[in-house]
Amino acid sequence: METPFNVDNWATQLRKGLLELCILNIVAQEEVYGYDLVKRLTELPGLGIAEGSIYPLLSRMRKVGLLRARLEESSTGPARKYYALTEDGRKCWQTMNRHWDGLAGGIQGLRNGGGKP
Amino acid sequence: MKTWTEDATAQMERYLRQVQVLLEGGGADAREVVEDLRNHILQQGEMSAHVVINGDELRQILQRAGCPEEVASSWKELGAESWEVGGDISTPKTEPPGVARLAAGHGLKTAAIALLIALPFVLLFLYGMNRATPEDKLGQGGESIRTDRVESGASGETARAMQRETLGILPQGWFQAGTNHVDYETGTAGEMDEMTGDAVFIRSRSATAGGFSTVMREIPAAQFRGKNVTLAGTIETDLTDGGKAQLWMRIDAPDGAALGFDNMGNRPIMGKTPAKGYSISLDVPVQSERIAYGVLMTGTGTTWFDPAMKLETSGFREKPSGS
Repeated sequence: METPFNVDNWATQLRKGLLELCILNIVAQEEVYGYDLVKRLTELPGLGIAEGSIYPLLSRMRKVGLLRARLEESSTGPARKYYALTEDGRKCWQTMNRHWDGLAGGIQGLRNGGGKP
Repeated sequence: MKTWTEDATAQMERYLRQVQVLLEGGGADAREVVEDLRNHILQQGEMSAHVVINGDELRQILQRAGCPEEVASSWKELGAESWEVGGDISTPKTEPPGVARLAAGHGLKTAAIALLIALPFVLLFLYGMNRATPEDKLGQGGESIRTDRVESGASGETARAMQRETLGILPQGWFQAGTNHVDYETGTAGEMDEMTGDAVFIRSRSATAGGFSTVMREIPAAQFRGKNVTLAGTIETDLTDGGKAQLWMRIDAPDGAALGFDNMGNRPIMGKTPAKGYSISLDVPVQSERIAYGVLMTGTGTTWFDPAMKLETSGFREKPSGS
């Protein structure tokens, strides 16, 4: 449906803005193989992102100290890179989730008719 | 492991090269991303139902990976200001996404213009160096050409006066593997003495480089079955602190089991050595599926080798089944 506002662009920006949070939420559970991480993200409903575009983000997140990576040799293919949260990454993950929870809860409240004086 | 056709390998290298060029100068580590992508693509190939990965199969893998522009621009469109190291993430950014996107686009354009302006000067510089050292020729892949001066020995004699490197790009059919892709970098180094074309290098990035890195290739074993095969390659080293370089070859069965293996484990190349020929011989049993070979390096320093390696056969040790 055509609208005066470009909803597709808005949705794209929203998805991309949430990508780091999605990565942190996956890695926060356990150390994860990069390929599996990418597969889980690309299969997340609504995220709609190309597999390769996640690697520059992972590189950036490792460089700024949110993630740490280690390599493990594999007998069935190339060496596997595993990602885990650093201490800074864990703090960042908690802060971002608080922002998300507050924002998502607030929006849900608005949808339910809340927010009125 | 799957067998990749030359066409598929060449396509993958072109794709990775495009990604690397687009990522250079950005906030991500271009080499790391290219290696991650390469491993992702190889892993996708391993997961494929096909035994041979050809150009069509690779195109499907690359389609899922995304076009190079899409891959390279992903983090920038998020707003680079979010990525300041040590920045306070609890402070919301007030600029609308459009501003960040515009800024990122402006940065790309600026970088492209700067590259265009700088390119003639870089070429002139390289030309000047070339005149001083006529044995060297311009390397390929101008986007990531790097010049290094390599001195040798106490006399300060220039062993390889100016060598031009193309980081992260390897000749067709060759790829990086090993246990540590972080502490080692690979690429081509232009023509070198005793080598027939562009040399390939493996270099430690860290003084504490652990594990090993190898540049390798795999070929079908069919034509070598039942024969003894000798792999011959030219290697030059500048290794320090116990660093080692080794030519290696492995004969694989269809299930991946190693039927033969030699990595010069008892005769590694150490220290600073001139370009010199080394060889390994192995029997290729009739059930062999693939032959993998290459040069590996452990520890610190640089290893160069000529990718124009020879595989020569001699003497039948086994008769192929059915003959």
